[in-house]
Amino acid sequence: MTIGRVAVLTEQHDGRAPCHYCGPCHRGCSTGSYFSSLSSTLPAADATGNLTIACDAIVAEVLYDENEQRATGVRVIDRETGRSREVHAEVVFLCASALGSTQILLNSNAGGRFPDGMGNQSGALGHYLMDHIYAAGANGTFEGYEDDFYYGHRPNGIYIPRFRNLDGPSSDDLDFVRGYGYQGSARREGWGRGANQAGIGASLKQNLRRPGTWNMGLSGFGEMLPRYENRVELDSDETDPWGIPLLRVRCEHGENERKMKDDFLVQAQEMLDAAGAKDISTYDRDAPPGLGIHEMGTARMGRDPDTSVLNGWNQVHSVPNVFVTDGACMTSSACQNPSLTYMALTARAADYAVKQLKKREL
Amino acid sequence: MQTQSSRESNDISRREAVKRVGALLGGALSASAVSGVMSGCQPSTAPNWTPDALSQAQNRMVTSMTEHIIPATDTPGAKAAQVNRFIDKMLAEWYGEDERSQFLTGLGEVDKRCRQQYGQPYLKCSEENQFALLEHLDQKAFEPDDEGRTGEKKSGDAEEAPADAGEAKKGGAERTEEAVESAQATDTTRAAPESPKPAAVDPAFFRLLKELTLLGYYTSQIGMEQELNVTIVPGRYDGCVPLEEVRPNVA
Repeated sequence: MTIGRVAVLTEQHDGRAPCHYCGPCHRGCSTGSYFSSLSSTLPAADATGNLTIACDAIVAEVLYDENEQRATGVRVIDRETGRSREVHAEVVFLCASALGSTQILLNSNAGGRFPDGMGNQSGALGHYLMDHIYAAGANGTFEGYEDDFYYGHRPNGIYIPRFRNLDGPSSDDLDFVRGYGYQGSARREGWGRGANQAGIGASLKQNLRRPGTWNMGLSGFGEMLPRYENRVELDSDETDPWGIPLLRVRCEHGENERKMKDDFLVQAQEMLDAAGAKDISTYDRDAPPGLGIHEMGTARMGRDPDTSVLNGWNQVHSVPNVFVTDGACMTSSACQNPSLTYMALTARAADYAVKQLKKREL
Repeated sequence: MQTQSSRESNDISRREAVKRVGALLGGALSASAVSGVMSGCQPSTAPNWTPDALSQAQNRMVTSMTEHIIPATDTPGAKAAQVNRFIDKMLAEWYGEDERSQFLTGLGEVDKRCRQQYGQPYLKCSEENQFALLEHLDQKAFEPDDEGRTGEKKSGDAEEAPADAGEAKKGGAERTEEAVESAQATDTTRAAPESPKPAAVDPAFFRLLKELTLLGYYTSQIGMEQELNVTIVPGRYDGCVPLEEVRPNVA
């Protein structure tokens, strides 16, 4: 078990304030101490003087020049007026979220040149959709420490790295492949417990003034296997208000995911028990793919253009001046939070594209 | 399931965030109520305020009932925190027709019960009688069921005995006689009823009232600052400090 890894400032940095430990990180960090593109990377991009942001602009497709065998830009629909316009560029980076980028590629048929979507000679585009398995684990209470409390709110929790299907005894006799980690934290119950127990009046008020029992929870985050059947495709009939075909998603957990999720409960329970927790309860909420909001895959990277959409630099195999630098490129999901990986891949691909442009090889 | 972690806000869905905020506040609140607060459901503090969902009389009832649940002690209570305005706002702008009518029907049931038990409507009853009735409703709303669970019962299935399919369609005060008698049989907190058929009060109504009272009070400025001594901008994190330092009034 270790402390989690988070992108929150503890010191002033580039005009951003350090964390003031207020608590509700999930509502958006008002001081920009917690990393977000709004607080960090967009201001940095703006500072270069080279940034133009097009608001209310919905990219419908990537444009393609048959003679040049290159993408020439994108067609953009204005959200308010519905009018189309073209934006031309030497290089196009799609970073529209995994499903968003794939939807654009699927919709980029270049006037019939790509009937199944741009970059889809392999037939892999739209397939191998993944998300992290999640929303299952265990909680337990700890006796004592009644006169101890905490001040402020740490914008972080604990992490238990993957321990399954690595070499060693913890991998013996498992009925699933790959693994998962746990995120977790401890806290004392708050006043909300009063809404679920008897009592009113001054005694209730006095009772709720004192924080409740200590509770610790562990929640698994597991790897979902890439499977061809888990896919997205353009709907043949329905479109969104701007005339872009809707994305139809067919995705479900398989046997491996279900067995791994079962193991979330067993191991979390054992760990809490070994740590001395009481009243241990497990939970396994109905959480189909998508609820983990780590959707990835559908334009996977690979060395073989016959089985993948992107090459090792996130370039579309068949249209090398189009890059896809979000979760769509992922070939497997691992069990770690993916955002930093996407950012690293994006930076790497952008660096590569700049160098290739300077060498006039792109 | 976790504390306020910036990492987790990458990891969870917006829907889940609502549930987790409930968990942060103690774990027992409904997602529906918490999401009302999350969405910025904030009552007016204007002096000329008038209720939207409640009538003036219902508003006075709610004001009194919330103050009985969280009274003024060494800190101000629900009335001073204007929890009634919060509840009115939630009823008017957040809840759907089902919950709204469940709540308003519940107020009517309380009034009817008071007339039968004490001979006058709720607002005319003595403070002692009001409190005794609410305490009774609270016990009924949270008494364990056959399997030892509390507070998880659905509307209409606790104080009233099981009704047949036809009876189940009846709402509010029109419960079965059998059910009411069953309720009376276990009721030891009050004098013998003047009527053989006192109105039953839906335990789901009371649970909603209590939940909204706690939510409204402990998210108010009075509740947070004066009662719980919460500092909105702590400025530092300390993982282990004596409770009295953080919350001096617990003793």
